[in-house]
Amino acid sequence: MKVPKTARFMRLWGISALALLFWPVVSAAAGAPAAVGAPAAVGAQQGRPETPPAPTPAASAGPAEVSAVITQEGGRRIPLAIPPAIAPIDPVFQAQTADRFDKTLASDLGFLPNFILADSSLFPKGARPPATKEQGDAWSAAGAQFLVDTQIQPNGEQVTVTAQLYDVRTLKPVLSKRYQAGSKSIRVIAHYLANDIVRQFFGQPGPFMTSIVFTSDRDSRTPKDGRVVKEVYMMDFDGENQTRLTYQSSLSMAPDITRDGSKIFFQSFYSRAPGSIAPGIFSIGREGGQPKQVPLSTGLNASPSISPDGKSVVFAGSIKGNPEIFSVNLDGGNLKRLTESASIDSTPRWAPNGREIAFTSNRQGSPQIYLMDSEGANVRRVTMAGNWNDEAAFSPKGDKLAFSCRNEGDFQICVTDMASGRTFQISNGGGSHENPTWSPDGSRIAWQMRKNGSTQIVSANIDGSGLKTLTSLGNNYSPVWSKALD
Amino acid sequence: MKHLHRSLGLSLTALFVVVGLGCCAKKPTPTPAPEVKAPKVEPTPVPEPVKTPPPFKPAETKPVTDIDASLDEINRKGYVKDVFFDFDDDAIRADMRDVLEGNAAWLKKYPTVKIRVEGHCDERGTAQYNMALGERRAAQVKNYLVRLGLEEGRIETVSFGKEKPFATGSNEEAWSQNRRGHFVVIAK
Repeated sequence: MKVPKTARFMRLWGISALALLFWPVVSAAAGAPAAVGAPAAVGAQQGRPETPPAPTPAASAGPAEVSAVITQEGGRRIPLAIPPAIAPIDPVFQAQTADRFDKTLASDLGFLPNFILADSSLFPKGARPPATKEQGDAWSAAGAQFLVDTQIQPNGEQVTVTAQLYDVRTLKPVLSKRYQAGSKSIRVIAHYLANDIVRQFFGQPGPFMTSIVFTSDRDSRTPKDGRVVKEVYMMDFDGENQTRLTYQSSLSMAPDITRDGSKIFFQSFYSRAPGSIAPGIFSIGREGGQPKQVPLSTGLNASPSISPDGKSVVFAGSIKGNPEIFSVNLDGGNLKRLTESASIDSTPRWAPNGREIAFTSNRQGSPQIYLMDSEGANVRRVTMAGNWNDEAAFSPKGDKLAFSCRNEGDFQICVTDMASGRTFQISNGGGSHENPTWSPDGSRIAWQMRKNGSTQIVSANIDGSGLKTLTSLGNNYSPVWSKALD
Repeated sequence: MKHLHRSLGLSLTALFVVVGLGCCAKKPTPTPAPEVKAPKVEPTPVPEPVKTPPPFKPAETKPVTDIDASLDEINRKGYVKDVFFDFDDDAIRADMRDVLEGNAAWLKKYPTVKIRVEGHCDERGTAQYNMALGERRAAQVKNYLVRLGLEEGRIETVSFGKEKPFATGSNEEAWSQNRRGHFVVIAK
């Protein structure tokens, strides 16, 4: 699989090395409050070591009690100063390691709406760590309430990062961590530290170790006969490490990822038999490889959504051309039809509680989003406004539903609060906004945005602020965020 | 020797194809010539050899039909004409009935022909719903042809949603071109 595969391998190797070498940090994370709903928490901890004996804090751990005070800050944005890490003055090390670390850490924490990063041009000199009240006040004057003080030490092929989070008023470290990993994994260390800082304040990590699966037409040749190829891709939450997973030279659409992040399901028109065109549902490992087809007797076979227990898939299938929602086991067994209507039923999406499925139907005229129980009973309509709503995505807790909504003109991204029924639009401006997906911490939504003829994946906070474009090569579609936080 | 065998085999295949086509054509002109010559092959020790009878004679007597050409060529000629739909609708439009009747007549003339109906949508809807809408469009076209007397087994359907537009552009002219049931001859 050429270069991307190697890069991915290195990265994974880096992660596992990190996990092994920094057992206390990882295990402390596993013991932290569950991030999302119950099934998610189980998934999140799969593949992690069992809860080990009491975590031995690395280096001189700061007093943990202070964190109790800090978590009360929850409601407002926390002013944070992130000066560059102290590292050996070696141009190569600075460029390849220290700068990447600084950039990643600032980008991660700046990603969330929870922090305000202080302006680095105002940072006081020679006040790290803040030892006196004057030095602490100097950081306060620069707009910081907390200071992330880091050092990077090369150690052969390894690097050691020491980090302390200071409260500039008390001059005490509220978090003290040390990480060690291969120097190529410096970004992963920055993600770990960012997660630990977010967890310190809010009790759960940020989305910094999550991934987004999507499809891309970047591998299409000049379309001689109008043929467009879409392959399945995966990238880090921030758009880094874009890696191609499928090599089918076909049209692949609508990916979904299992809760443990190990497998991706998608619709594809790939066929070994030349001449026949019959879309199927395939799965592929997150490292790529040979896609496996789910044996199906239905047509259409679109929009697969994996059940929270990972044992079955709901999808839009058809019998005699009438699209209905079906459920099927991964081996093709136990095919069940869940909807019975003469109209279109499409785009099924599992709720994280495993008891409900959202889907789209035009049974009352225009495409609208409905809910049903997992066996197809108790159908009720969710969206009441607009003339076209589709592509529902449950928030990780299941309390909100994001979807592509349209009243006039282009599609936008809407979010409905399930309890109150209140709906608000989070995208704005021109262009068409479709296919929303939630970060597993519920802090952000990613979607595909088409503007000036180019479709790219963007993500924003759930109030629509902090919009970032994550892709740029070709056109990119159907983002689906991984479902576990680490 | 190998070459000889192969060329013999090829000409025999050609002969069979010609015979086959001859019998399936609309006006099966009785061409007993090849059948008469066939028994002559038998007496010789080797089953295949013997000089191939001139395969051109029966071809000359066979009428030229629309499906003599390759599938690509047949599809380029567009004997089976595409039909178009209204926005977010899978109903066969009144102005498309004549088109489908014309298609049915042509398909009845060539009963060996099999077709695929591709359901397509314009870019304005969502991708996922459009996959389902395209499936419905293809199915509606198929059902209409079946009601006109075509065998179900000759028509396969597939939806491409809004993935393979025929016309580019974000205006009604392009959109109306892209909401279509597209026909492809897949066997003859």
